[in-house]
Amino acid sequence: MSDALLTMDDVRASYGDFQALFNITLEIRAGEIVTLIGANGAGKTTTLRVISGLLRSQHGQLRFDGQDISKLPPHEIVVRGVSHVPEGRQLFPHMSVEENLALGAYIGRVRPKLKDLVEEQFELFPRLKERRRQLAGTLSGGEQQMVALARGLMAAPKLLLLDEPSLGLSPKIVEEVFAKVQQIGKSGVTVLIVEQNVVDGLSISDRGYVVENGEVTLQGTPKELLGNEQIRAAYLGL
Amino acid sequence: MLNWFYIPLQGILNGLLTGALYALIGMGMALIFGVMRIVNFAHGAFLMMGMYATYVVFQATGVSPYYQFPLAGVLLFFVGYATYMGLLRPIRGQVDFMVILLTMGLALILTDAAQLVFGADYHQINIPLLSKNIHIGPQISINAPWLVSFGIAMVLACALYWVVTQTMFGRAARAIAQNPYAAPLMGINVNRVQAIAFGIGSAAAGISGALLLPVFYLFPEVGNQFKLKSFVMVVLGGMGSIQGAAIAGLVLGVVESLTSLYWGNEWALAVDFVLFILVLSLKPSGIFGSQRA
Repeated sequence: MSDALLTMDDVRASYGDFQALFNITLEIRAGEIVTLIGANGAGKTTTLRVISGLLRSQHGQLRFDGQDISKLPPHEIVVRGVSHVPEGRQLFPHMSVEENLALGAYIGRVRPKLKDLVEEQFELFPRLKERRRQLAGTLSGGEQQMVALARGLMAAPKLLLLDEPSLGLSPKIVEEVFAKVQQIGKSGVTVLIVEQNVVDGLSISDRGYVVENGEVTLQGTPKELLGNEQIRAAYLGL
Repeated sequence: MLNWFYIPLQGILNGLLTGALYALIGMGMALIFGVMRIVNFAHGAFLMMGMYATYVVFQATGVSPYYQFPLAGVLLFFVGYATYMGLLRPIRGQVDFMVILLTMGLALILTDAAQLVFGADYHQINIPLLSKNIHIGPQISINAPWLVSFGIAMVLACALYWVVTQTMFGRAARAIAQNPYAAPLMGINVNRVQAIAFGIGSAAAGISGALLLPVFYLFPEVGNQFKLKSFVMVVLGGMGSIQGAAIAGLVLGVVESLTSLYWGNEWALAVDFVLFILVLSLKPSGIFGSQRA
């Protein structure tokens, strides 16, 4: 398809001698919300790490916005328009909410718009406006996830990578987080989510991919995937 | 005649004047430690380089160190930047011990190189300002060059604090210290920011050397005692807190000054290390700041 924002074709990657990805093949079109589902250790997080440049791919094609990004360091991939919100939030704990957001707008392209971007995030997450001067490390888990999302959006990305945004949060907060992600998707940002919370993840997605043992084995619409017997047995315990 | 009041007051004043220079040295060390967790054993040798560079320029041009100190800063910025990029970056991620050995080795090479080029003799420079004293009331007098170096060091210390706390560069440097995994995801070029931070920390040592030249004597191993003092400041200030190191520098200056006043000069360094050991064993997070750079 010609309007693909991100293409991965037979991507392979290893941590030292341990090969984690064997054949990741997927395509994400501009404006979509896509979820990667799969068991623990299947390679979902590794896939995101390869896209954002934290881990080098050793084989295959990795193209973003029409260009090969497989050789770029992480800080240049951010400049191209990929924002990675890592698993476990990974905030800067001794800095205020505002400073965390400011770091999200570190790249030169968006830095002049810092103030506007912060206001945009406060509109999307009013809670953060109340907490703007509080140190990020002292926030609740849900608030930290909001800061992580907002910080990711500060770079005005074309593609937002979300790694386990529901991890460690109460069901009510999870619902709130997914509602925000849906809102972000509607605003025109393409989103790739990695999620163990299969039903919630798929419920806001246009499409999903199943990753097993470092390989993409299945893809489809949320309806198709949730109707699939194997998936129901493996991930939903039905 | 109120001697019980004026003598210690003079001691405290002298201590603050020396302490401002200590503060600048310590802040440079704390910046490097805070951002990179690198204990730079070459910090004293960098100070020595700043002193010799200033000495050479003074001998050639006669321009007072109080005007030409930025040269030493620029020189040492590039020395620090190159040291990080060329020597330290290749061994990042290895055990800390390698970094310690490398910076120690570098310090030895620089010190011996200075001895080779300039000889082991002590040097001093003479500028007219040295003989000027400022009198406050009948009892208190301040040596003019110390006052000038105090002013310059304090301005630079505040500037350094401003850079680290208020600018995007400083934010990036602190981000790397607090979460090295997330920093590159913000678009931060970690190696470049670290090299610049290492350069700035080294420049602080170089400038301190330039400011010390008129009031101290110069020899190849002059950096050693300041290296030791900067360890003490980094620990007192709370590992890697630059404002903590600055306050620790002032305190160290006053403590040393009062120690030599009442117990004699030879006790000053001993008191430094008693403080060092006490803080490490009783409050290892430091006294003057717990937050990292």
